[in-house]
Amino acid sequence: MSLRDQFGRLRRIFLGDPARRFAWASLLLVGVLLIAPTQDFFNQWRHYQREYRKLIRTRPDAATLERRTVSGIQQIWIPERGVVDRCATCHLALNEPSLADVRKQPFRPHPPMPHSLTEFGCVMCHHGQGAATTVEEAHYSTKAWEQPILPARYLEGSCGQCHMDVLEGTPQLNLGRQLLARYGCVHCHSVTQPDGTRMTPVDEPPSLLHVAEKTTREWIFAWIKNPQAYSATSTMPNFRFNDQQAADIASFLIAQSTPSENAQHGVAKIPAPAESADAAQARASLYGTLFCASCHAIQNQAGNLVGGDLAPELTKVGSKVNSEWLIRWLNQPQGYDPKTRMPRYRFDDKQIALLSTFLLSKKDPDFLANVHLPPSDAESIARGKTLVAEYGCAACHQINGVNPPENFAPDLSRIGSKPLFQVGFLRGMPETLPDYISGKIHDPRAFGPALKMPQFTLAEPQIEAITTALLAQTDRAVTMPPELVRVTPHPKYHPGGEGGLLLEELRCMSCHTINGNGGDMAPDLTWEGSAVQRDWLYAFMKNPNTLRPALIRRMPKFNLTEAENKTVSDYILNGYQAPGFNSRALDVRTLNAEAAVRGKALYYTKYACQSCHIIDFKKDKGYIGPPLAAVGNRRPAVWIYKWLKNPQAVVPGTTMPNPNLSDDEARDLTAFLMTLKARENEAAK
Amino acid sequence: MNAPASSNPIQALARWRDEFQEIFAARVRESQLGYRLTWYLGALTLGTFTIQLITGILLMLYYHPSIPQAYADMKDLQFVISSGVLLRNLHRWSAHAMVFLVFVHMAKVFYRRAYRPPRELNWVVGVCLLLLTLLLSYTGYLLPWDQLSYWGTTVGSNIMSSIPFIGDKLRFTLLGGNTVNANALLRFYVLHTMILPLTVILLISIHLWRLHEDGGMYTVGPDGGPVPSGSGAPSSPQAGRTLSYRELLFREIIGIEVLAAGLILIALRWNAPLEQLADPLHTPNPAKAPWYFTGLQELLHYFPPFVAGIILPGLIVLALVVIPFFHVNVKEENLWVRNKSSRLLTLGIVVVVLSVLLIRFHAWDPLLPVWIVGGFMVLAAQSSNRQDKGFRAWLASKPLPFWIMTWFLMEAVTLTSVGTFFRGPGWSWVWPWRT
Repeated sequence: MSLRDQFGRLRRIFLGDPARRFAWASLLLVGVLLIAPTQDFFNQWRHYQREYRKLIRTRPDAATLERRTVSGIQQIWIPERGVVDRCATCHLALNEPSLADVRKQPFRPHPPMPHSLTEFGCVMCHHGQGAATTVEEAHYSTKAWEQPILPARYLEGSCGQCHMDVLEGTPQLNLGRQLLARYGCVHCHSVTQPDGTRMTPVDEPPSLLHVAEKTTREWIFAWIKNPQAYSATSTMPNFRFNDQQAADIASFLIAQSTPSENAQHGVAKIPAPAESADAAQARASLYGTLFCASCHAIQNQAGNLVGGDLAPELTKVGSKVNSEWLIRWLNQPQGYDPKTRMPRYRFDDKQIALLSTFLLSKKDPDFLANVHLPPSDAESIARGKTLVAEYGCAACHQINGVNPPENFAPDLSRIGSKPLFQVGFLRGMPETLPDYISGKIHDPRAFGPALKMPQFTLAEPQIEAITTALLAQTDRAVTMPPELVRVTPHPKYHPGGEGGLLLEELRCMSCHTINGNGGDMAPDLTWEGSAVQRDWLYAFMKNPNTLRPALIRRMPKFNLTEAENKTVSDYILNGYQAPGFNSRALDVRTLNAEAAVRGKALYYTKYACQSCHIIDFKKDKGYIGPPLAAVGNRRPAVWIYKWLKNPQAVVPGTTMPNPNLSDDEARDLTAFLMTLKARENEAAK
Repeated sequence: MNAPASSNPIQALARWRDEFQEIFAARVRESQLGYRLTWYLGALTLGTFTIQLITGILLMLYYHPSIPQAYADMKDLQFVISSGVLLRNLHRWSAHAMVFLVFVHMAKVFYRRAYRPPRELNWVVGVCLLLLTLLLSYTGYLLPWDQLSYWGTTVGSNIMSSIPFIGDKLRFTLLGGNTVNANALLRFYVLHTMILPLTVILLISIHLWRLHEDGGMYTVGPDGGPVPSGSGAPSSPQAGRTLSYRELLFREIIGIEVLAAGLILIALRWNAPLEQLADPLHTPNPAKAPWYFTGLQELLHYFPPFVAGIILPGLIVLALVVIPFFHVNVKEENLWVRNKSSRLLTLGIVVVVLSVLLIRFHAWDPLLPVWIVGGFMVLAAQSSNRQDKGFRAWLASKPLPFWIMTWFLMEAVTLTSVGTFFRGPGWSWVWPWRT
């Protein structure tokens, strides 16, 4: 029988009549129908569960692990938060710290964290699609779920969905938020935080109402062209204006300028500066002893910036300001700009002469060497005004005749949930939200030449931090139920009365915090009245002195009159008293000589306080805590007693350990410390 | 059939079998067995409908017509329920297949002129079934409650509001509100799972009963008139005839089974589209209707909504309904045998008027079928006098209704493909391979 015949025979057997063909078609259908259950049996999550069982079989605690392993789909379901997270179906070891050495995903345990896994689920922090049970769908961006897993380096952003306070564990988020406020992002963009308040800027861009008094059109031109060329630390962004545009804006700003309050006062004649080396030395040392560097930085010979970043860098200030303005400014900064953070120092004429000469000598002859502007005309001014309005200069700076624009830039309150189809990605850039946000901060104009967002000078970690802070602004963050929002209330505080006026004039809160408001450079003064003695404070205000050898002294000396000193000191002593620091906490009559003797023994033997603190500068070597030689002059007995009982309760975050003293011991030690009344200058030797 | 006095189960089953085979007639000509005659399109459409019923009922076990649970149920089907994703895919692809098959079935019946008396009312039932199929598909489109379905339904329901006077009321009634919302979801659910399927089942029953009454499959006799396939008593053996029970029924069931297997393979390989949860605040660009409506949407791009959304579809449906009653296409008469020159002139005028009209509305893509069909008609006219063979002779033999239907189908295909594949943000032209 030929092959062909055999084939024909087979055909007849199998497909010979309609019934047989029908049977075969039915078999085919059933076979195809069986594929799906088979696929289901060999699907991804079952595969990982089998792998996991294989993995734990080799572990020493196999029995325990196996008992705790459950089969089937696992999910965290929190209906009120819309959480259906099935991640634990494959990530089986999340709660198994004994597998900490396993590096292979999906079997790594979750690192320790402040929340339990079932409190919020996984997706709230990590993003991705919680409901999915396949690797692709759960982790990556798909049509059905745009938000992929958040890269680990931006993870802190998720904490910011609820937490508005500065957390220890989220340095990057904290930095990002600080930068958003400091670099003026929130002047143009509105960012609503989880508690419903708007993020407020902390930078104070100078008012330009009287700018012509201060500087020249040429300087403004050069500054606008490249702010960082004048001062590398400037937070002013580069708008990439061309020469014509920069010149027009400079013309307009000069033209809109009006005389300030200061301009009404005459200027004392400054004697020609003495050109000796000694005189130069005297000028520089005055700048030093006044602690200008606490806030202002100057580049030294080696090119390093020395000084604080609270106020503008002064390296090239001589190329910028005009001398009459500078003299008036040093005399009364608030007369030029009522909102400035610069204190009114009450300098005398000699000090002003020395300081202004010193500052005007800080010049960069090259900075304006190549700036030659055509004379300003009406057209140029008009063009400048249009540009100023178009680019939203008034969102940051006060400018005459231009109102601050409202909602100038897109609202960023929900940027962390921006739908990807609304995002115009650059060619070749990874199409994810974090990449878009950081790309946009990195080079805003790359996304379109008509865009107005300027170029900021930011380092890569700073961009990453800002991206993190913006990724916290999700839909969830905005709609977070109030009971989940973690924020410390922050009431605004302005000191009142005559003393308050002085505190304002001296700008104490530029550096010190009082009642939750103010700077963080210097100690919190909220309870200062309970923490120091009257005489000590009087003396300190007259001549602030260093308290700790290890710290750089930064408190400037203000030329206060006797009466002013008394007003401000009494205000602090009476107004800033802490609750519970009173005679009921400690009866000072019990601090007698015997107690002091017992206290001395406790100090040197039982608690060995001398290992950190110094009483006798010749003998003691403890440099960790402040010297205590004159502590009896400075601290009130009640404060010392309470401090010894529980340092953390008095100054949260202090490095002083809690010695766990009994009431009697604390009293005795206090009695001893109160006897330490060395004169300040003696102690300092 | 007369009820017998006594019976046993075998006899009872045999009687039932007779009923089934009588859908076509007990015996059919052997020449009617091949797929060329009908392509089994009616049976295949019935097959897809059966798949829809089975998968639909299974899907109903998992689905809640509420927001946002409806979307969460899609996720559960996809990720948790065993073979849930297959169910959903199969339901979706089989729905597409059904819409497609219904269209092709209609075209095939038209070209074969199988709507002639006494089948004219059955043709009308068929047109109703076509509309119901579209409605079923459209109502089902909303149920997943994702971006695609939400905006597809929004686009579709907005067309309805362009009807003068009652448009807005009609849309309000359909949606249970002024926008697509929770009420719309519930109404679409009830329509999709109760009202429409029951109506379809009823109409299919009538469709098949009439098919039986009219003598099963339509065939043309030697005289050009209709010949019922199963003439004579069901049991009388005739030459050249075979039992429809074994031959035809099995063939059609095999066809259905192969189609089902194919659809399952497709459903295993390709997932039904599912986008993000419906978000009324974020309109995707472009917001597209389901594919069988993108042709309509393409028309809407060119013409005012009332014309494109109501007049044109209305006219098409009306034209389909009246076909059998105006004796359209009854005689397969060569268009060009008589009055050739005046008919050519008319053709020229029609093509020019249509072209001017379309160009006036900047409608470029519907121009193409006009010119192609016009071109072929001229070619057919050229060929009619000669002794051509093959394709040209075949072309020349075609009557006017053939040309009109062909033009209509080409327009439908062109508009639908352009709307589906070549339209991007703002309904601007895009190349599908450059995304």
